[in-house]
Amino acid sequence: MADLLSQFFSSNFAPHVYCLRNTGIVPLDAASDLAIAASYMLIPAALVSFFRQRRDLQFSWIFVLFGIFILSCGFTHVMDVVTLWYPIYRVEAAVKVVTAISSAGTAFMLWRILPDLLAIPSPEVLKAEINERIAAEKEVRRLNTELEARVAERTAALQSANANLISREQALRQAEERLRLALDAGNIGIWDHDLEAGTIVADHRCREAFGVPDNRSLTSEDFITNVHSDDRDVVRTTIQSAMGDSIDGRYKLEYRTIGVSDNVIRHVHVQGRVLFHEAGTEQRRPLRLIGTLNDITEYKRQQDALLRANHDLRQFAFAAAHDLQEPLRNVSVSLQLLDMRFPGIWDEDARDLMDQSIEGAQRVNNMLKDLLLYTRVIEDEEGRAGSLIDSGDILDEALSNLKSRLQETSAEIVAQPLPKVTINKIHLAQLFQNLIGNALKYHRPEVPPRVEVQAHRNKDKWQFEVRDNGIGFDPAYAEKIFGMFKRLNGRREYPGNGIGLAICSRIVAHYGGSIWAESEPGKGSTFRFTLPAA
Amino acid sequence: MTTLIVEDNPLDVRMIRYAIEKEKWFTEFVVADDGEKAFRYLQGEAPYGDTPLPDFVILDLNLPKRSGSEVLQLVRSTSSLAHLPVAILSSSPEDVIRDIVGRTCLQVELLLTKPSDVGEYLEIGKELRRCYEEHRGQNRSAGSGQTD
Repeated sequence: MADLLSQFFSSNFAPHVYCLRNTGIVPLDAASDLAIAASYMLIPAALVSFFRQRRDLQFSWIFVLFGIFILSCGFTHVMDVVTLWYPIYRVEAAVKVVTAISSAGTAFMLWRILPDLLAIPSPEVLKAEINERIAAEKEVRRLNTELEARVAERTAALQSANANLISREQALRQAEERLRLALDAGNIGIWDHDLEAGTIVADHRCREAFGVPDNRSLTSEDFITNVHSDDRDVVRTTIQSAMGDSIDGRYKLEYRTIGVSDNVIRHVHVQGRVLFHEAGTEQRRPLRLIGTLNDITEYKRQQDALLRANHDLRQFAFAAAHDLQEPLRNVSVSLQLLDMRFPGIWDEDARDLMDQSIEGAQRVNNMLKDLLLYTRVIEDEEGRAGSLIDSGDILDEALSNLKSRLQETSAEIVAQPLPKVTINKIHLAQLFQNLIGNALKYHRPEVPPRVEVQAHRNKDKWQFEVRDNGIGFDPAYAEKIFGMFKRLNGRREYPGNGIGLAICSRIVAHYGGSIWAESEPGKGSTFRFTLPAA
Repeated sequence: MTTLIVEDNPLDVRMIRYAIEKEKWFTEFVVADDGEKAFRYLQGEAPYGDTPLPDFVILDLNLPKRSGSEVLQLVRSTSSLAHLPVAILSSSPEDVIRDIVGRTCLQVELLLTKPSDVGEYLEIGKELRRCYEEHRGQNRSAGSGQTD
């Protein structure tokens, strides 16, 4: 080993200065080679430093190769300087071999990667690409901004639509709640009967009225089976008539239901409407029944109680009026018989007392008769409804009933044409007879009564007028005279009990009309009454 | 002759008798003061038994037990009585009497309201007599037509 090394480093040769002695070449060579060597050390150092800092670059390892090869070159120049004075040409050769290998290798690799190096885009291309990318990025940002703006717009629109919807929903809910509360307060149930599907939608109150649980779905069958058997025909007929020939399909019904679960009988008032398919044409087909329901059981109970009370009262009044007459007649007759039995006994005073007793009894009897008439005026509120009659004919009838009195008083009756009205003819006759009778009764002494009868139309009513030229009355009593047994004049001057106008008042009220009087003492009176026009 | 008075008010019975007597119209009177007694008399039951049947009937409508209409029904449906003239004398007003009798669809010869005046009662006496004299001996059966 030591041998090899010493041989390697032997210097049995002549150094280069031997050839180049005393020329200026030596310092030039030496200086240049040193400079070159220094540069050839610095350059690879820079390359390595670059390589270490930019490992990211592609093919950066080529710089390593370059570094090695340049470094080796540097060493060859170092050897050039050294061999000027020290002829270690074997060492120099070795360095050159290393340099040759590394430079060849580098050259080879360089040529090998040349295409790839060429493929590396030039800075212009890269710049262009970068600019393109920047432009694209800008465009993207612009689009983004636009998108955001659009989104914001849409969001705002959606928000306002939403706010709209919310406020509408609120309004709807308010309306719904209002409806629900009102229906609840009014105790009104709602039902909806789909005729084609045969199903019924009914709310809680309807179900209660039918005694049906809340959760069960309902069919047409359920409806009719829970109607009281006695009322089913009326219900069917009414609904069918509404489906058939009615104009708007509306109907009203009152009937009884029998609760499914509790068998309780309830009264209901139903208002409904038939909804048609193809409304308005000849071929309209009933599609749906819809309406409201009201449980009127309590109301009916009260009404029945009232009717019963009314009936009882009427019976009482009738009985009182009728049955009280007999004992009074007895008193009256007995007194008269007593009077006749003992003609000579009574002195003036006793006679007076006797007369007053008899008169009193008779008067009560007459009043009872009149009371009976009064109670019987409206016998039965439902029956004896009016019919359309010619009031002129009835006036003639009344006048013929008063014939004898007309003759007695030499009365003059002037009648204008009179209309047809809907009223029971007995009642109208009573009206005329009472009013004209009064006119005849209360005539001015020495002045034959003159009675004018006429009628004129006032909106939906006929207004009749009976005017006389009799004694008249103080208008302060214009209402009082219609009271029962109320009279303004002495019984001796003008007979009667004061029930006639009370009867007129009752009749007129029964038909929804009114009656009133105008007068001035000494100037006659005018009695007016209204009756609904047909 | 015998007149049957079916009337529960004694004073009215008295007045009817008085009125008829004042007319100088002589008749025996049988008085039944309720509907049932009238039935027993007309059917010849005790205590009336042998009492002869009437020739004329004066009938009130408001009677205890059997009503006047029922008595009328009996009269018109009994062959031996159907021909009798019947006068209704009632405390109800005339149109009410007409109504009640009309509903029975039975014949009645006279309808009168009882008056409270003695003078009027005497007038009634005249009417009753006239009624009897016009209608006695006429044949009428139950179910036929018109009231007076």
